[in-house]
Amino acid sequence: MSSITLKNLTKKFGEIFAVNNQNLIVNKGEFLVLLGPSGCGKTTTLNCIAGLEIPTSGQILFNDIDVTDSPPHSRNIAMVFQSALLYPHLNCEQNILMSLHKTSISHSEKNKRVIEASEMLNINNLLNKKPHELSGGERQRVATAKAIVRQPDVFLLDEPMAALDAALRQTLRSELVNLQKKLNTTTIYVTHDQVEAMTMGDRIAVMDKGQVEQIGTPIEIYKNPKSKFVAGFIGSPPMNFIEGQIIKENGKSFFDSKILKRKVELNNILNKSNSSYLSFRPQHIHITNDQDYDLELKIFGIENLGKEIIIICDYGENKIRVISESFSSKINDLIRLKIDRENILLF
Amino acid sequence: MFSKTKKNTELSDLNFALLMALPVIFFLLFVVIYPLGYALWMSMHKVSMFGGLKFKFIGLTNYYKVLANEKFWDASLVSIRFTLESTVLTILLGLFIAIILSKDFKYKTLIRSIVIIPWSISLYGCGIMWAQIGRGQTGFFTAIYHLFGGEDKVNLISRSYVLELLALGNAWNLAPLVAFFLLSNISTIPRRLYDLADIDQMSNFKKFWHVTFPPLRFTIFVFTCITIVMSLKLHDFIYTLSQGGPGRISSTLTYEIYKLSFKNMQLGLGSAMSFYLLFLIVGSTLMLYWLWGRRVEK
Amino acid sequence: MLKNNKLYLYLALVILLIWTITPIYWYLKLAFLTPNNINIFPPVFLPDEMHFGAFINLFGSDYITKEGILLPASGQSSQVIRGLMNSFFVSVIATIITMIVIVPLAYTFSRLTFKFKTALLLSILLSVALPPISTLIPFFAMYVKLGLTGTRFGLIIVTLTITIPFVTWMLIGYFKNIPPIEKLGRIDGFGRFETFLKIFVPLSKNGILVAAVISFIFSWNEFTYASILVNGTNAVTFPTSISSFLFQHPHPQHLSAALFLGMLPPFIVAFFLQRYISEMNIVDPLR
Repeated sequence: MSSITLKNLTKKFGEIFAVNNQNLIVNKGEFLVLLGPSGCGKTTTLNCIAGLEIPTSGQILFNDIDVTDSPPHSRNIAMVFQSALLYPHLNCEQNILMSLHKTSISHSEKNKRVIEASEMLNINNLLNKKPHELSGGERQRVATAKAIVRQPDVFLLDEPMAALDAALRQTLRSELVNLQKKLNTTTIYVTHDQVEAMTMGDRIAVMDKGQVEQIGTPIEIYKNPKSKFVAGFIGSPPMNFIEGQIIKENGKSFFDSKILKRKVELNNILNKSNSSYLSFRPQHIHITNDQDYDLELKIFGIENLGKEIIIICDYGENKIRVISESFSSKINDLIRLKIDRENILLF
Repeated sequence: MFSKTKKNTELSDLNFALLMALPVIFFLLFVVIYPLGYALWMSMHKVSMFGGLKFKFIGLTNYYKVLANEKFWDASLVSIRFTLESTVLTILLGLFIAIILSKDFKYKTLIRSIVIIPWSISLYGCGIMWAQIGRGQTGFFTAIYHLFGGEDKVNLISRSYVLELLALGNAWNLAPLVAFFLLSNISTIPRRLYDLADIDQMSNFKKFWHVTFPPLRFTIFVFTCITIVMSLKLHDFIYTLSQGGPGRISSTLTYEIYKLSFKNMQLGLGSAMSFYLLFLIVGSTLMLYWLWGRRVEK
Repeated sequence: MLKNNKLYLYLALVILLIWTITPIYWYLKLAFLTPNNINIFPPVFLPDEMHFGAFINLFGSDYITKEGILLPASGQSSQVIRGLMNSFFVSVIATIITMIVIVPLAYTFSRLTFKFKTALLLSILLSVALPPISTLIPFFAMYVKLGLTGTRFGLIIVTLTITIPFVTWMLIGYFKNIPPIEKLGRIDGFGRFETFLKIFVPLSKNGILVAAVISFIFSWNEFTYASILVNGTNAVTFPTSISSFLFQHPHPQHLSAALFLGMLPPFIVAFFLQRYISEMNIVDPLR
């Protein structure tokens, strides 16, 4: 397996920077997720790493060897594409064998690898069929088998589960991670789905507008997001934001906003005087009956998920979401909420 | 580990594309641009065929001669009238056929195969067939007329009707192609939209206008352009059906150019006139695009 | 209400079929008549007697009907046969050349964007606007000088001006709808050209076949160029070989039979083609 290093990677399409001066290190054997909204440059980055695109400037290193100018085949990578791209006119076994077509492996070794791969992915009964005869999930497995059969140094996956339904995605997620840990191949996985990112990655690199905003383990990113974008992108239900400003009074800092009933005192650790957003996760705000409350809002919606209830409250054009375990009010009622002071973030 | 890195010896996108495009570029140069240039050159010469090809430079004289020629203006009018009639008939017919074929009925494949046959027939063959239909002595309408007790011939290759006969025959040939492309557009309209129209209590006509027609506008535009170009270029059909007659009634600009160049052997004058024709063709399509195409562009 | 709609539909279908078939039938019925009853006035809808003699005459033999009427062989038969063979030759070669040249081009144009693409594409498509008559004049002059009149080679070249633009337009639209299989090929180690030849072409062979067949039909039906360039020579193609029948009224049954024969290849082809044309779902190549 290889480590991958991106140095000042830039890719322009015409005047537009798809990837802008990106630096990234992927460790050997790591499962790294490139996460971000459409157009953030994650697929372009992946294509550069694969060799399908030539960067405008910058370098790509595999294990400290510069591969920036090498064609895909000599980088010893395998790639799984969106919608499980397979050769439509070949059956599955031939599809898998195609990965080994240009290698100098012996015939018997090729067959051995195909058998191993199809056992690992449980597709023995599909080998004779053509791609259009398979379901989406089955095609995904075949595409994965096609990738592992090369025993590459790097796996690259481009939103492979985007076209599958939710239940199937849940099953395949853990299978894929399990497989990766078994093979210990360095893997880069591109997705816009933050649930996939959180559940699968060893580390997540959150991207926006061609650059990595933050990279870290799922827990790090969840607990310590470094920008409003990352904070709002990770976590479901999403982070709450209240717009306002910081005021200093009597040597202490407070956050004030129109909708807050009273100023929220900030401890010194959070001393960023130019922040305009007070943020907290839905589980860090509670319904209260005391006089000691921060917000009084009208209920817009109630989502009962069984294990928890999400209450959506209206304020201006935005919503505040609260997680609660039990509940008895109705839509359009007013409720009082108090924010946990220990879990506040400022942006 | 991966194999030794080698410099990317692959061609860039541009170079690869140019390599693939090379034969066509040759084609364009030798078979389109050179002849066009040669035609332009010829149009400025008096060309004689006696004792080999001889050229005498006369500048733009041919172009003035064309404009002064009454036959040119008559023929242009004939072309325009013929083209307009053909186009309207073709599009309407194509639409009509497409709508019918989009419904459900038995033997659909067989019927569709039959419907496309007119398009596969050569235009010179069409001319012979439609001449047979229109000519009084042998005509279809004569036969029908006699069926109802008439005794005369019904001749459509006449001063009054020949252009309409030609337009009809032209539409007969072109409509199936239009129909099939419209058909594939129609098949992408979701059935649910018709259900919605039913709920909104739309009449059949309204359903056609608001549900069926809008997605077809672009295709109809494209095929209007194609029909106009094909009709203006048309030669074979007119040659075998009416030979430009009676007199010069059905002599389109194309046919005039043919007579001038290959009957009277006035190649220089013919070339000049053909540039007017080219101008007419390109001009009409551009105008159509300006007025209509821009609005329906996807 | 529903019954009415069905009735209208069937009525429309009947009208459509009559409209489509009548012109063909009205002329082709002549191919089955003898010279005596060909000129009957008024013209008949259904002939009393049908013979296949005309077809046999076409190929140079006499034919005696059951009633003992002699139908003499057509004097044009050698021309007809030569015309058939030449037409076939010219059409096949023109189609092959067109496909070899255009399939790679359409591939690149449908996949990649690059600087001169729009200009090149427009020029190819604009050559459709050229009337055959216009290009014929300079070609005629050039060929007279080069001695290429009356040659199949010369005819093939001009025929390309018809087939190439159409096939380009059609294939680019068709290729745009094929999934991006190149990425897969490149990862598996296939070079660009290899991906094209070994993966893309087999994948898109349906569309390529349709385009080739349509190109063949266009060449087969081509009349204008042939009538000027090869008429009366050894390179005469089928349409021109029967044009000598054209203004000759004594034997319309031969002309009709000949026409019928000439229509057969396109007929058969169109029959099988109609399914594919509507499935082609062609996209505007300029986008």
